[in-house]
Amino acid sequence: MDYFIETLAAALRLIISADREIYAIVWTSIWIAVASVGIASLLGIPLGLLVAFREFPGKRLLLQGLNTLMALPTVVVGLVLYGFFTRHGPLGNWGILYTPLAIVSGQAVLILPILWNMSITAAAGADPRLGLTCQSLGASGLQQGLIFLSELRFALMAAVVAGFGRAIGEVGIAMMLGGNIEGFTRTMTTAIALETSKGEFEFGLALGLLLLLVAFIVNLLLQYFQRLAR
Amino acid sequence: MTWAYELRDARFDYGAEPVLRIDEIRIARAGITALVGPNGSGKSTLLNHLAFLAWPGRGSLRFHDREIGAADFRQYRRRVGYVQQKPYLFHASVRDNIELGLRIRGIDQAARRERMQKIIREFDLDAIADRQAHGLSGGEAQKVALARALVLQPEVLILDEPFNHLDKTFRLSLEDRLREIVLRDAATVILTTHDQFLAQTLSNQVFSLIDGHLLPLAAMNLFSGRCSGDRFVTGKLEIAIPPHLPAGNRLAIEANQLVLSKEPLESSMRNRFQGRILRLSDEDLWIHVTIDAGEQFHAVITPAALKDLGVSIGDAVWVSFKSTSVHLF
Repeated sequence: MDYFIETLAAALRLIISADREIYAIVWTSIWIAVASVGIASLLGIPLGLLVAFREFPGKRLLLQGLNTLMALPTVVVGLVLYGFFTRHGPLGNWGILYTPLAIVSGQAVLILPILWNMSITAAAGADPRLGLTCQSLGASGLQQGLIFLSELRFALMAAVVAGFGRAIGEVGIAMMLGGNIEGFTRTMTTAIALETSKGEFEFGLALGLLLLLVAFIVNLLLQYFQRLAR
Repeated sequence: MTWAYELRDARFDYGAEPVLRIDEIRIARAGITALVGPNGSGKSTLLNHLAFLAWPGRGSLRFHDREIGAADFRQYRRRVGYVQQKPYLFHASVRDNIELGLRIRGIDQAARRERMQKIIREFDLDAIADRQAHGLSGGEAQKVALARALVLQPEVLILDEPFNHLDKTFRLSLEDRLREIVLRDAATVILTTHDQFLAQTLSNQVFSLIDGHLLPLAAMNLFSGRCSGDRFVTGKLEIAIPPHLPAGNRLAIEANQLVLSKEPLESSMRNRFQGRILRLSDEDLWIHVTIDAGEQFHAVITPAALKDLGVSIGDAVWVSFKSTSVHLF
């Protein structure tokens, strides 16, 4: 027990002393997750609105597929994209394996089904009078889309925050596609795995606490937006 | 008379369920038309069609003497202002809600500001103009929705139960305003109401919608029964009908077709029933009389006619009407 308390104290000292290495890793994790969420949102939210308001053959199958993909294992995404990005893969000549871009791509693929699915749910839960009101005011398709984005903003923000939480906490993609390169692709989760395996428990614990803090803030935001959306 | 809308052979179904059947309806241009009927009678379905929001399974629609197809609907929507029964207000201020339709139409800022100020003043919305629309009471929300439609200066104004939640003062001013936009702007107003009396006094044209059937009258007197030769038998009364009418199990008579008298009239009217006055209600310029003659009849007379008749609640009275004034369906 003493060991754990001493380690915890050392971890807190590292956090308070604003250790440069720790905060560089935290920053890398955050901007990569933000970029992933940005890309996934740009694709997932319009697709969500489109699927919600259109009827087409195979829609039910698509919804079931998206529900399944919500729980997509990160190592499976990492594995498949590794196959694409590796030197002999179809995108090997892009040279993005073991770069932040590779992690961003992987995390965007991971959270796209979350953004897509939650956007469908948000749009399907919208007041049925909303569409009729937009149409009766003479809104074009694009104008209707923008009005829906505005009216559903809180529910959609909840989807974005949920996607961010999933991205920042994942380890499989960051490890397999980023390679855990110090000062370049090392994220909080990959650093925790590495430092723990090296026996640097206090460094890992400090990062773990910061990751928990980020998760806590994300959760607060999620609840805030969900409350506003109701 | 010129027509704003002409519908023929329109059929609206939800799945296999028929919702509305219209053989023919013509709605006068630059006038007020009321659609009267209970909930679920197809009023909102018809309004959605007239607002170019829903296309029926079949039928034809002419608008201002032009044949309109489903493909034209989007462009024609902008000529109509539509206020739903429970209007949806956006998560924004009252001012932004009213302005949105103008923005959608690409109207420049100066013109927008001018029109906004005018409508906000006319609807007495200054005090709440900067409030969030979602905190408004039912009456305030209704006013904002009406202002949002009227600020667009539409050629056709469609109002689904517009007088719900409104206090009497604003209701009367809205009635005046509707008459004014018809006279001044030659706009066409189409509204729905449960209130048959209001429909008759406010509108130039009244249609009743009953179980998806459209009747060209305010069906204040509606009876169920069966046809038997030249009679319609309700179970309590036998009403004389013309022999050539197609059979039906509903019969309607317009309130203004009923003639009230203290003694049975010597006339060609084949239907004469004695009853007692149950209710007399004063509705602005008209008196609404309810008579129990086995079945309840509703008649509309002027205060002067009531004075001449010299009757009050509980008095015996004769109700007469021609057999040709009935509608069977």
